[in-house]
Amino acid sequence: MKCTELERFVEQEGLDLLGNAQQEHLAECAACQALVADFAALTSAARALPAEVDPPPQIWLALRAQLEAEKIIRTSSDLASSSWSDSLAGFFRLHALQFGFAAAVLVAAALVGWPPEQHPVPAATPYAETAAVLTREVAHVQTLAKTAASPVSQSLRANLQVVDNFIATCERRVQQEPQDEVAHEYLTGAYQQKAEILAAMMDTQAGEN
Amino acid sequence: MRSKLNSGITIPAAWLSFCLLAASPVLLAGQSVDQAPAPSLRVERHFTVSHRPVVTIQNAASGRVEVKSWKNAEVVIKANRVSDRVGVEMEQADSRIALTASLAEKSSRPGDGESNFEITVPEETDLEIHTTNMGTIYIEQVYGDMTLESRAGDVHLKEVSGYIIVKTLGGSLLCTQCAGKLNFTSVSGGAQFLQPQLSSLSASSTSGNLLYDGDFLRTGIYTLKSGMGLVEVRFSDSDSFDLRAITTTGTVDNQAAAFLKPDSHGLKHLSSKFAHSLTGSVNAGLAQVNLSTFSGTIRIRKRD
Repeated sequence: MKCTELERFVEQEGLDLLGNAQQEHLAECAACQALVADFAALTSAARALPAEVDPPPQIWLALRAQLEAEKIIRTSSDLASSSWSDSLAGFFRLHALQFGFAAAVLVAAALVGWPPEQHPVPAATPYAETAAVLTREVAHVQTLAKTAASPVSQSLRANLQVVDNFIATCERRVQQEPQDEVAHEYLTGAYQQKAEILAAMMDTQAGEN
Repeated sequence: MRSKLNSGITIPAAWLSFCLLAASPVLLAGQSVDQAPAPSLRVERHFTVSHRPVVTIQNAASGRVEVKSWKNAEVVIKANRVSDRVGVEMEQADSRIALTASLAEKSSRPGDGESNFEITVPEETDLEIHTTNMGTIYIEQVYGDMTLESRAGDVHLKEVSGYIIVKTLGGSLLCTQCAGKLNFTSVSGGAQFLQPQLSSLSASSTSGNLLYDGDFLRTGIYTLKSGMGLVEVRFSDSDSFDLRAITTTGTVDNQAAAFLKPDSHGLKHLSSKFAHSLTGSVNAGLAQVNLSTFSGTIRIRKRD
């Protein structure tokens, strides 16, 4: 057996299936011993990696807004699109407990094209779905916030108001000038900030209640 | 007028007042001792480090986090808690030091969730600080990479350098004599960069004001962006930079028109019909300065 043959075998079959021919070559070849040792180390390191990486909660929302902006997903509230909003709403509610897991699932779902019944169609109103989900989550957070009167909660509410005002300003602009890319950029950023504030509010209230 | 004690002895009221006044420092001193935090509420730990440490702080308590440096290869953490509601945990793994301050239970008294931290680190130290409550993060003369996140508190940096990330929701940033690369984002917090030596700056706020008052380093890239606030830069006549200012519905207040010449590199910036923009160069245009606001004001000034 030649070194190239062993290398190809390891690449294709891995280390667990080394047969007699490979073992005999390895016993005599220092270069291939080093190669197999490297493969073994890499395999071991890969197995030690965590199975899941938890993205921050705002990543999904930013992705969602970007997809809407690029008209890759539709925003109309009819048909099955409610499943998107339900998923997002569920995501936010899970945040306090396991938002990382939910985000991973949602992002993965978005990447593979879930839900399958949805196909790209032009957006009726820019960011309509994102705005609707955020509005519902604001109501949810405000329900929780009734007993939260700490200075940090007040600060978060004030910031939410700031972002809401800015979103309203940007939305008017986008409706007036749909081709204004800068306005779209500001609006997308504002939605992302709103998601961050809501996540912070949930976290803060969980600690206070 | 006389006061009558229970014993039936009478003494002049003036004399009684004098005695109380004379005794008051003693009484007050005794009171202050009684009201001072009990020794167990003060925590101090020393961690010897062999090389450049990484200090991480996760702070759920309100209060100030202050980080200063010294020449010793040692990290010292002093926590001064108002009550035992604040739980403080510290751990060391080689040169990684972790501090976690948590709130044990719901507050029973106002202010009992407060704790101030004084941390002394070697000059070259990486920092990771996350505060989820009120309170200022103050860092002075630390050289290393830093990630600083604050929900409602301000961040003050003085004479720090490295790759610095500051993220707040409501807190503002005051950055004096900072060097290296800095990234700032906030919702309503503003930022002031005074006498900076930054080679790269990205500052963004939804409603906060942004001020850059200092030199633009050659080849540096500076981006300041505010949704509704004021974006202001003050430069010196020796600075050299290309400028692009753009606003959607706001205004550009150019108070340095005499110094701003057409782009020296001949780069054609396409004007947008949706925005007001101003482009130009100061001297050779070595650095790049991008200013933008959606509805606020951009002000360009030369320092006197």
